[in-house]
Amino acid sequence: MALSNEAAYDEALESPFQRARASKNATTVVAGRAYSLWTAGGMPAAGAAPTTAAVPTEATAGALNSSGQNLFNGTNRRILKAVADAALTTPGAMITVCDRLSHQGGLSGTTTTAQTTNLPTSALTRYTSGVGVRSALEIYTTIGATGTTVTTSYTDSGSAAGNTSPAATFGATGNNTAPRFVMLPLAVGDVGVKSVESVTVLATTGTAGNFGVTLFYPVISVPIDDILAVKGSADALFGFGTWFPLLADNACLFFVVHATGTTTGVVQADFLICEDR
Amino acid sequence: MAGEAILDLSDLINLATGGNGGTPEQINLYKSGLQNGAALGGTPVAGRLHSMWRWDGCPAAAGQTAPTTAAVPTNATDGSLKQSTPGSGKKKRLLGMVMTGLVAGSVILYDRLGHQGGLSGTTTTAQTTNLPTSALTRYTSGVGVEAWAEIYAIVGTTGTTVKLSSYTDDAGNTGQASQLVTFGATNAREQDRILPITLATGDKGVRAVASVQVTATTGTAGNFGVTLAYPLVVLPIPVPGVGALFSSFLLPGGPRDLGTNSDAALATAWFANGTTAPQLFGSVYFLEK
Repeated sequence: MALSNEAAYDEALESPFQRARASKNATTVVAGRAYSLWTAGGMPAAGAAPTTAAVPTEATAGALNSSGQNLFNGTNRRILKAVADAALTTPGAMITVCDRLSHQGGLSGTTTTAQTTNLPTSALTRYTSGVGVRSALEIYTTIGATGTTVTTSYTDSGSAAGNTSPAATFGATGNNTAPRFVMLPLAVGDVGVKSVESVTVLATTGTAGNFGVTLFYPVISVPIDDILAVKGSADALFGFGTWFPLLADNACLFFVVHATGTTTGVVQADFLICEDR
Repeated sequence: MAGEAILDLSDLINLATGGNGGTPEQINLYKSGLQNGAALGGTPVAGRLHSMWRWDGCPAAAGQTAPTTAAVPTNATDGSLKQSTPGSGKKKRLLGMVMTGLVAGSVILYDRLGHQGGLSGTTTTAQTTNLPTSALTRYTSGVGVEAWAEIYAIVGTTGTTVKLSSYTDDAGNTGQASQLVTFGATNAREQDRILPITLATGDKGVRAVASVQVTATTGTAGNFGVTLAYPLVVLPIPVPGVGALFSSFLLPGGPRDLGTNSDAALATAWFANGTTAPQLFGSVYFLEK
């Protein structure tokens, strides 16, 4: 299916399949770094820090599309417009709507052997090839103030197991407080992740805290470039880079935010979802 | 018909949503600001251009090994975005990209047409090691093709200049000599620095480079090479965190044509605003017709 022409696009904007709204409470951050709003309160209510490996869906508490609104499940659904704003005290943020494919928790910032608690991650049920699927370490409870690095052992999109991700900075200011979302690079040759089998923190950060692995797929990013800004024209043609993001069936949507200042402000967004016609 | 132009807005919408074989494709890009899990070999320098070819990320980096013999990178080469090759006879088209970073600067998306390495910062005669560059397989006229000196291992602290002592221009003239550009010493010696080469008067691009000459020794051989590149997008990120969007929707001719059957080696470079590595995050969008 596709939107066959301009008239179909206009019609889809005027009579969307679903109009959904989300609002997430302000979250303290470090400028320029990625933070997950999965556990941020608001509407829908906060998602829980996971323990055992699981596959979140649109019905999972915390999903942007789980709060008594029409469910997003189905095929050929697209986000055609996002009206997003953030009540910022300093100008600017980029809000990325991501599909949360798999998550788990219970990892420690002080254990320096390969950690397998609640791992491996659950098998992908969306974007199952793994191509373009990204992995991140999501901090649920603050880890330590000592900077170190972290690697994972993962299965790549070619189904080769035992790949080691290049080390990523972990712990210390900017990389230790919840809900920091530490993105992980891939080993040479790789273009995506199917699962993560273990996580190794090179040296103790000083505090165990709690973090976990999240597998995700960025769906659409919307830059917001003003104080108290409303990104009013973030539609597929102009605001998304001529991109018409397709949602996977049962997508579990959540926000990842890069902010300019020390808070995300209250992040709000309205989405227009259409079906191809 | 395959490889034809995008007709109008309806055609674009249809293609970009998967109709008529548009095959929309999203590449999710991340650069961690590290190399092989450690700090960058060369700290970014404000106002200078840096190669991200070997920076860790997703899709994966090219690794830490520098090019040696002349080669033509493609969309199968590590370090590139690895977007798919379009269907037979079709053109790959760049729809847009969105990107943010830890710090301000500009992201340059370019097609890496050719590269080689193994040149020395201490040899002052015309160097032909691993040269000439491989023949262009994309943008074969050479128009708009830039030549960069790309530093893979730090060269010396003595400032000097470097030039293409012999290159073939976009008109097919061989034996052209470029202008001299600053080389060596602080800000022009560090790993991953890109030094764009200014061409001889009258030239609009480069087809091949036959030799390179360093005017005086920098004091350290290091390792540098020639990269032939075709810049596609310069995306300024004026404020860290905010990010920016490029859309080719309103460009003349519509989404940027990457070529029929294109195997473009799309890669990113960083025009720094400070000394902190950017940690880029974003996506690049394509379709084909």
